[in-house]
Amino acid sequence: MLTVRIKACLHYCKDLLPTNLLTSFLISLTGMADGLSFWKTFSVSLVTAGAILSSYFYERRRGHRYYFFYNLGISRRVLYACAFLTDVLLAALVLVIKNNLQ
Amino acid sequence: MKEHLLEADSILVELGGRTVLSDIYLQCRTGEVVGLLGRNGTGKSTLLKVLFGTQDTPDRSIRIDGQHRPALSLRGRWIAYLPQHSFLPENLSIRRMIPLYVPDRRLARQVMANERVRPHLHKRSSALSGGELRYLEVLLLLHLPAPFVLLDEPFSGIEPLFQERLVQLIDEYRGRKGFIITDHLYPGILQVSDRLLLLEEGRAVGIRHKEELEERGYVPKGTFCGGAVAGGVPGGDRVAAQWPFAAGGGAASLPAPGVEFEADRQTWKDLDLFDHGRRGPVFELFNKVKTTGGEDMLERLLKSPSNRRPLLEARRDTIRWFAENGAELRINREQLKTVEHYLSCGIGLFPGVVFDAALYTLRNLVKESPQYYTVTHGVRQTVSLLRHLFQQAQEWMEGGGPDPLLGTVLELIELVFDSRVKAILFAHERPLTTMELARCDHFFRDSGKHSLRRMLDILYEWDAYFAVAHAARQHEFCFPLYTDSAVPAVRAQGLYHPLLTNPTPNDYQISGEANCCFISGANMAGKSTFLKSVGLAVYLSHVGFPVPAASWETGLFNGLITTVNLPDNISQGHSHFYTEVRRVREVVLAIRRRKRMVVIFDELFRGTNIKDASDASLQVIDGLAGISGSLFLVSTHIVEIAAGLQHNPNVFFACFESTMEGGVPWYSYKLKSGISNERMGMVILKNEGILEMLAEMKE
Repeated sequence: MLTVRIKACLHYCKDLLPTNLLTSFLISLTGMADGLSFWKTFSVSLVTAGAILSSYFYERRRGHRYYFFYNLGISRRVLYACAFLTDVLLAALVLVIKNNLQ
Repeated sequence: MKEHLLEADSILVELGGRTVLSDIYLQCRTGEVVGLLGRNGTGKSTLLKVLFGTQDTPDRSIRIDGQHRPALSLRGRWIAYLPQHSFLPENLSIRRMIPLYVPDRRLARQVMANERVRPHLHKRSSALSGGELRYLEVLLLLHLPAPFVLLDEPFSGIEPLFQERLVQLIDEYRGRKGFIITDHLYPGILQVSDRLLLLEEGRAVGIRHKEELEERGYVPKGTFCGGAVAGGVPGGDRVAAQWPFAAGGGAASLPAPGVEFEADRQTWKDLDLFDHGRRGPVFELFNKVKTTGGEDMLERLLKSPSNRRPLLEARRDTIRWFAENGAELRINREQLKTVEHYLSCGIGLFPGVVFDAALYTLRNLVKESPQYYTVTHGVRQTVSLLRHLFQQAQEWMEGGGPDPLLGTVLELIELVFDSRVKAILFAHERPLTTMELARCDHFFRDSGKHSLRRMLDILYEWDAYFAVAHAARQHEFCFPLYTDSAVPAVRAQGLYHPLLTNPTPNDYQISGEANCCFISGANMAGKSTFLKSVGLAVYLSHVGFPVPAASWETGLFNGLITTVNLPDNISQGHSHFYTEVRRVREVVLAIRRRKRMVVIFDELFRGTNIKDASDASLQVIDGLAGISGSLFLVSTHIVEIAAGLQHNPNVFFACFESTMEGGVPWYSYKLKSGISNERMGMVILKNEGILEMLAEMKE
């Protein structure tokens, strides 16, 4: 059952990711115009505004999908935590790649 | 397979300032399907969400096998939930989705091999039709380990074929799972449910028979008259097959064997007790109760007549004692309202540990919260009410109350099984300490809540009894005597109708030796009123209530069927005559089922020509009179058929006399033996001046 739950959580994270990436990309572009570093802004946005907005849009557009996870015994808090963890990992990965490239 | 029990109570939900659910009690066992019905906005989906733990509520108690469970531990493990809208992700193929809900590979293969799933394995859920999607969703939920499944509108918006497939699916799993299903397509719910609950004004009301859904205004009147349910899920009807009132065909409105005393809605209507869910004038005659609960109890009593002599005599003796001793039930209506509010408030219990209780009290001494006030005030009022009740009960015991009353008083005392709470209730009146408040609160709303509910029910029952006793005193009713004679008989002296201002009492008797009474008389002579009086006396005596007569002696019957004001049925397309024919058929079927019945017909076959009416009446009366064990009272204007009945020893003749005095009809309203050939119809017509008016208009 644990494997199933992990798979379901990853599926949730995958669902949020496109919105998060797009939002973070737009925020980074705006940041660049203000003289901020694109990659740093992108990484920070992935775990803050992008994460929040992607969860919000998911709630608005696909709120009833949470029952898919509830029926597997996964609460909303667990899903948020998983999504946040994934975003942190992704942001870290972005920063590491960016630093190595430099 | 282990059986599980899901119980939910103390559910309180307020949405937008409106109490949607209050004091719900619901239980479901594995192997059981509970149907949940209710009009829009009554809180069906909300209740399911509360059970599933996705709806916030100030208070709820959900137990599995008697153990309280927090919401998080219920989801998936104990309860699965099908929401109204599809919940499956659209970006996953069915083949990839199934292993998520069915981790066991063997089972997953079985699901994939399902003939209704296999063709769609490569598709995504968004490519499925509504019915296919709903079927898949239910199938996946049924494969979760959760023993309870909540289905919110599983039949809505899908074609009948898939509705039937869903019913088959539920049937397949009903042995292993417990289901709670709600839908507006009630035929589907009726078909699959073992039990029905109707959500009404925030409460869950148990539905015993389908007709109750009509009475409570959930479905239009006449929906179940023909026994068939229009539209929805085809096939058999589980509820109809199991429930006493739900048999199809002509006898749809008559209860089946097992009911103690049968009386259908037509009879209630004829006797002015209840009409289409409304309370009639005879009910209002008794309805001098002091509390709302008492009013409901009075209705419940009047709707559940019995032929069990000990029960009837116990009730009769209690009411008689109340009536003869002029006792009064001293209830503070406002206090009772406070108690009911406190019991259904859904606020958490008063802390039971000394330190926590003291801290809670101190905090509220500084700034009192509404919750603290509700609980403490409620406990004080409940204690005061019970003290008062015990005091009155003690007075009755000292006053030599009858044995059934004393039995109930002893039961009342026994119900307080917590010795410390009992000590508080029987102590002299003084302010309660914090720990006493906590103790009482835990007893009233937790360990002893069922006892307290029973105590309140006893109080309401007494309230209803006092109202009946008051009516008996006011209208000088008598208390019935019951006989165990094998020959059915009723004997009345001074029988009258209680709704008349100046009634003329009549003496009357009928027994099994001549069990059919043929009553004749002119128009307005009092035939219908007399038949109603007899019917009412039979009915009231089988409720254990006093009877409008000087004396009333009756055997115990299995039912009463009256046909006095029979309407036609336009919705069913039945003419008045056909409705009469169906009614006679119902009566014959009921007698065949129940044997000992009292049957009253006022004017048989008035909806056809005189020749057919005459022939049909003769045959039916002659036939009915041959049925021993039941009593029949039939009135008619077709006195010509009397000659054809005189050969039958079971038929005897009674009539109401009338004479003409100065061109004006005069009625004695006294029943005497014989046949009346008086005809007053034309005289009444002339006296009203109708013929003159018509003549004038012609000129």
